[in-house]
Amino acid sequence: MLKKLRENYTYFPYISSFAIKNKEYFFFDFCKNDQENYINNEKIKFFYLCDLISWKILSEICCVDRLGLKKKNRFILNYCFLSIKNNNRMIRSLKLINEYTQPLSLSLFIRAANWLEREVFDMFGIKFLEHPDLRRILTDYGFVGAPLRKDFPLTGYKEVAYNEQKGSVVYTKISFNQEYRNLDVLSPWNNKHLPVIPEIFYINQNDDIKIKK
Amino acid sequence: MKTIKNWRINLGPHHPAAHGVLRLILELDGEKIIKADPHIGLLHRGTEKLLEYKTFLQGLPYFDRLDYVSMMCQEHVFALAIENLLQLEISITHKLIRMMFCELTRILNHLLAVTTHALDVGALTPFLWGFEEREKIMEFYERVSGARMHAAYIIPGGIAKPLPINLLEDIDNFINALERRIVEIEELLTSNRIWHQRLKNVGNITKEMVLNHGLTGVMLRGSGIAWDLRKNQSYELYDKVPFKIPFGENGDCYDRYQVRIQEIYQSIIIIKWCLKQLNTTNEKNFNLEYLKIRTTPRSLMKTDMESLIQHFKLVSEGFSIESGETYTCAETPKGEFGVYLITDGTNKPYRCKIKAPGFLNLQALDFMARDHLLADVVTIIGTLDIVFGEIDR
Repeated sequence: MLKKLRENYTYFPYISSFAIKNKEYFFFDFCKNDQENYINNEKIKFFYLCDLISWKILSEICCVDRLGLKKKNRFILNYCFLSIKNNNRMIRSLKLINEYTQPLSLSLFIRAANWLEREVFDMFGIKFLEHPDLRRILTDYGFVGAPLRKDFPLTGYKEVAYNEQKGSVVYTKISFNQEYRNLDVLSPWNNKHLPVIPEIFYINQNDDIKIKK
Repeated sequence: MKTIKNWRINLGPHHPAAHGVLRLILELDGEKIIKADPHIGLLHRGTEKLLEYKTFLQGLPYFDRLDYVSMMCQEHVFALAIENLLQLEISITHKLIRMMFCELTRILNHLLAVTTHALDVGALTPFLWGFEEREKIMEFYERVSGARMHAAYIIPGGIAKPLPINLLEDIDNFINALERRIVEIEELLTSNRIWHQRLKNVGNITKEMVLNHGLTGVMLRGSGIAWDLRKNQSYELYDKVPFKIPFGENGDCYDRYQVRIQEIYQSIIIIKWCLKQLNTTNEKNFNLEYLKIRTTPRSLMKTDMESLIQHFKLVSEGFSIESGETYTCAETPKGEFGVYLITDGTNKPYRCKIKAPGFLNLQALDFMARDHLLADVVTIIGTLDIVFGEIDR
């Protein structure tokens, strides 16, 4: 197993294994020092429970965007495992500093990870290293953007409709007669926390995406 | 010299056997499947994004619309997740009513799954019989909530409205008659020669591959693993009910059909148990904790100022939940339906990830359909029991 891993991931020099209570764990501790493409120099760590590999169900990968919370790492990937043998659940979280950080794909070991990672890629724009088939899955063909990020507006940027003259379905810029009203009725007295307002990337009338300062 | 190429065909989004909007690109060698590539997302509505902009009570009805044949089970999971975060314990009567409706929903779903599967394979009659029974279950939905399908009946803190009069007797009568109907459907299918030929040794999947693909529910049980969250990680009062977990042996489509039929019988047992308990318990406890997230009755609202204020605040602002996160899941008819709910102290979820069982079940289609004939793909889609509301979210 270890040998196979070393062959597959030649550029991860830090793969090591150690034993805890007679169970073999693999400890991925890899970093990528490509100055051109990767801003990230943070080590990405991932524990993987090896001897239970066939008895572990990967039930969920939940990605969270923490933009606006003023945290060091923007994204968190929560991997929920289920062990049928031991009847317990395990949640491992992986912190990613920004959207350019590339975690390792699990789909080589667990086939369930394939579509789950594709969904994370689709919704958050996080690319997984060594993923065999990283395409968009839920959004439309040719969709641009990462819809579940906090800086993506609820209404989106484009709308789609059938055009009589062209005889086909066309994308147009979204237009409203009225601004979208996000009514905030949260009581200012009872709550300790203020509602989270992300640093908004807004669209002006000319549809140029600018960063508000 | 001629070169031989594989066919690549499109089993389009509107094929009747695709159970909704599944676009399947099949690579064929003769009539043998080499690769199946499902294209999903044609029913994507962005539920997870919408939930971030809605309060908890406003977000609840979105769960009905996910898997539109097992509605109440999904509301139940969302309600359970909120109760987990608030650390609420609801009254026993409410738990029993929830369980009863979850099991009615399971029958509703399995009747659709089995009979439409039979329809895909070529048997029309079970479909007609099954839908008559489904109609009766939807009438119970209508009587408790006012809506035939999208009930929004199971809410955080219990159930939305008290049961109407005579409902329990009617459910009792229906359940007693239902057992006979299921036997009739079974008579047509279980020992049918065509049904055997089309289903046996089709879509085999071993234990290891089931676990590796993350399949849950009937897919897991059909391959011989007796795993049911109702028993193994019990919630509500399921640990007190004497019911069994049916499971298969070979992991083919026929075993999964048998598991579904047996689960209907087990659901009938659970509903009978619930009815018995509901008729004997007459507790009327008013737990103060969950009064905070429940609206008061309308009759009180007319005379009591505080009730009116509370109703107004709950409907406009909703309740806030302290920051925390939970992964709550329950056994829905299709498998393990989970909600990963993250709250930040406001009245809206910070993030709500929905784990749909059908999403992972459909992923296994490529593995299961390999080296099968084209006609078997229809059988396998039928046995996966996919509904696109939940897969695309």
